[in-house]
Amino acid sequence: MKKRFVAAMLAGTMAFSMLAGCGTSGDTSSAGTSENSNSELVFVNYRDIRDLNPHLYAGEMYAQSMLYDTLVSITDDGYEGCLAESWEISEDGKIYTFKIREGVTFSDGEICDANAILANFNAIIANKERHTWLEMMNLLVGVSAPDDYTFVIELSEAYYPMLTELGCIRPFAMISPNCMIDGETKDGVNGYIGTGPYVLTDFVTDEYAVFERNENYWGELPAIEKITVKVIPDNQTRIMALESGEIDLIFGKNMLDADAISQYENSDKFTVALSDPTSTRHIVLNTTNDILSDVTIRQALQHATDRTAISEGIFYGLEQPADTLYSKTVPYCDIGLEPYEYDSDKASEMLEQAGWAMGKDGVRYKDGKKLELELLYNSDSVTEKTISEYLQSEYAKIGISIKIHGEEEQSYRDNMKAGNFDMVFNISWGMPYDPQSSLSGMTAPVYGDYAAQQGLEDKAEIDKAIAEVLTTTDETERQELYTFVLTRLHEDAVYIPLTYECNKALYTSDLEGVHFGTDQYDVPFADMYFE
Amino acid sequence: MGKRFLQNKTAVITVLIVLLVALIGIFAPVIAPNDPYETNIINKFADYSLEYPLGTDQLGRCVLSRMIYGIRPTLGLAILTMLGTIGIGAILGIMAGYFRGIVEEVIMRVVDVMLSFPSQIMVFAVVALLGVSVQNVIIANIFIKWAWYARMIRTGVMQYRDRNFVQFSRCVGMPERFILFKHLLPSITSDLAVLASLDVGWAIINISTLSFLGLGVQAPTPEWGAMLNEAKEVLTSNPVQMIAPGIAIVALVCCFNLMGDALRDVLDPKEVKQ
Repeated sequence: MKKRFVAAMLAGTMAFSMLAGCGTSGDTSSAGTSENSNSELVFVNYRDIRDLNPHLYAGEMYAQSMLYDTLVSITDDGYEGCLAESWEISEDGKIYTFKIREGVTFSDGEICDANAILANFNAIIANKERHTWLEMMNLLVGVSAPDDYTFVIELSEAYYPMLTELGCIRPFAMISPNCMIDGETKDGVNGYIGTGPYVLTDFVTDEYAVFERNENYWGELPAIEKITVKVIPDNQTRIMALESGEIDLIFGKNMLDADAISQYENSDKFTVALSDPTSTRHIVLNTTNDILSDVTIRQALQHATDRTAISEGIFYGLEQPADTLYSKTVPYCDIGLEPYEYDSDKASEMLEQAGWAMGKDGVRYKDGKKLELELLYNSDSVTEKTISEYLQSEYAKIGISIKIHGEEEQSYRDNMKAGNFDMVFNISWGMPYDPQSSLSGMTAPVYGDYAAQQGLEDKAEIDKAIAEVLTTTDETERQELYTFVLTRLHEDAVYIPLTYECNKALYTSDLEGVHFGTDQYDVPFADMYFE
Repeated sequence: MGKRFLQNKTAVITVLIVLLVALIGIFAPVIAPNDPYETNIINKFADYSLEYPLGTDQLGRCVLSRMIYGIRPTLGLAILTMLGTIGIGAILGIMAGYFRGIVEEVIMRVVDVMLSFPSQIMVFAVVALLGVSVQNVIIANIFIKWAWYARMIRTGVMQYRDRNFVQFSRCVGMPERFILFKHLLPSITSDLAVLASLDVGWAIINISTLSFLGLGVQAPTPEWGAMLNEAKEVLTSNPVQMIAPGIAIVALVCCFNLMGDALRDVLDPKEVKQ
């Protein structure tokens, strides 16, 4: 008997040591590389880079932004020339003439002139249906390259977010025409060759990707010569990898939870950085659902949500509670909407009035139907599950039964787009896409918004106003239309805003120059360097 | 046998522990200090205190209360799985061992097919096929594991089928059912008891594994494996969270395994002679 006990103890010890080994195993080759070289950065992401075709939406945006350039770039101070050195806009706002930068080549040696850019635009336009969220696609009359260094875009109407859309990471990024298949990119490309500061030199799906500096880059060369991106899906494993020196930088909105951040706040070895609020974390209610089609229920859910507790309890105040779909700092969105204050008594009362009476099992019923909803969350996100569980217990108190259901990112997105949800987590798109592009995205099946709003009586009216707002040139009229759309969406209570998300970074203190770009999906590697 | 049982300390202690755990689970509402579903998000990851003897989890729920309520799904589902596997395994095993011939051929070939797949992978496959729910996890576990028991029990039955008392019964024309249930089943009871207690240990680990991977018991139901999964999310910042459910699973599974061994010692007559 004694022997058996010893054996059991031994087995237990072995199991523990195996667990401890998990964090570092499988990566002996590159462990420590980050220490001995100061021009190599090891970055981490929760999933693979996937298809980096710049004209489609399947790839990781930070990688696309490293490989490709756009005509203009969006900075904090406005637009700056990128592949286009300068531009002119005709007085009626319909014709954009770009002067293309000379001497820029793709990393395969191909010259990036107006003809190459034209080829890119043609490839993008050939896949017009895929880009419905860009209103400019509907207004486009034609693109042309009158000479090698002039590029012209003609629109049917003036369109104020035009330069912003051209400056987004995708789809208006330029890939070498050699990579196109029959001049098109919609069915894939045969290489990821761009003009950007880095080139992709090696990758193994779901393991790592290696980016090396493009020595022929037209702009200022970044300090980091080589960036290795490892794929580590699990939050805790990432943190352990950072601790062990296997990786240098964790960066992103859903890559770090608040507990990890507060743990490193006073550390000398590692530095924590938080961006200003970038976008709004919210829950979309599907108005086509039998139960949620009633606006009273949706409003009751708003009143039952304690945003302050989520902000304080789950995020330790790192993310501020959100009152409206867009923060007041977003252009055109400071319109004085009255937030739904947290009041669970009021919520219960509203449910009571709507005919949902409390049943014996603590759940409300109406005509024998149970008040039960499913909440879909992205299991790759580090905090959505915790928020789901919290809301589940909060809503249970007023007799709403919530079934929570997590899916990995891609299938979560697919379900959202197809409208397969009662309630789903979502984020607004953030700068520079808010509010124009994300509102435009509501008028077509881009994310879950389109499907979720189908049950609204005034959906057609809202869509019409969104279409108008993008083409109007009059500032007052534009504000009025935005006010109309945002007020309607607020009163219809389709969105339960939770908190204003911010970008988070945790990195070894040797790394300098870490900051957050204007686009929340971009990782500004170009400004980083090692001490 | 009662005397031999009392003489075997391991048997007595492990049986007592298992009974105690089961009783705590049954009387959970009386024993638990707090409501296991009551969240208090401001008071999350609280230290050990009088109000929360094992602290609170990521939503501020009482860990001890969740552990106590967690006995119900953890142990209850494991016993259910055990009854299912042993039930099917015993019936088919006895039939194969007693009837031999074509019956045995068919049953044993099916068993061979089932055993040729690694059990964990098969469980995942079945759960993936049927969808994620507790019910399907039980079905998957029973479906995969019965074959193993059928084979063990068949071997046990074969030892007895040609004994004199069985042959006598057959001579005097007792119905097959009588022989199966009155002679063979009691003869292999000791084997069954050992298998059953080992199986519960296996089932606890398996159900907890599936819950840990998010395929078994779903939130907010407290289940030890699911609690371990939630603790894993804060492995670096609050490692203490893993201790309670982790130790509980290890201890209970050890208990069942030791109990299985000890019961065999108690029930095996040869052991005494030595």
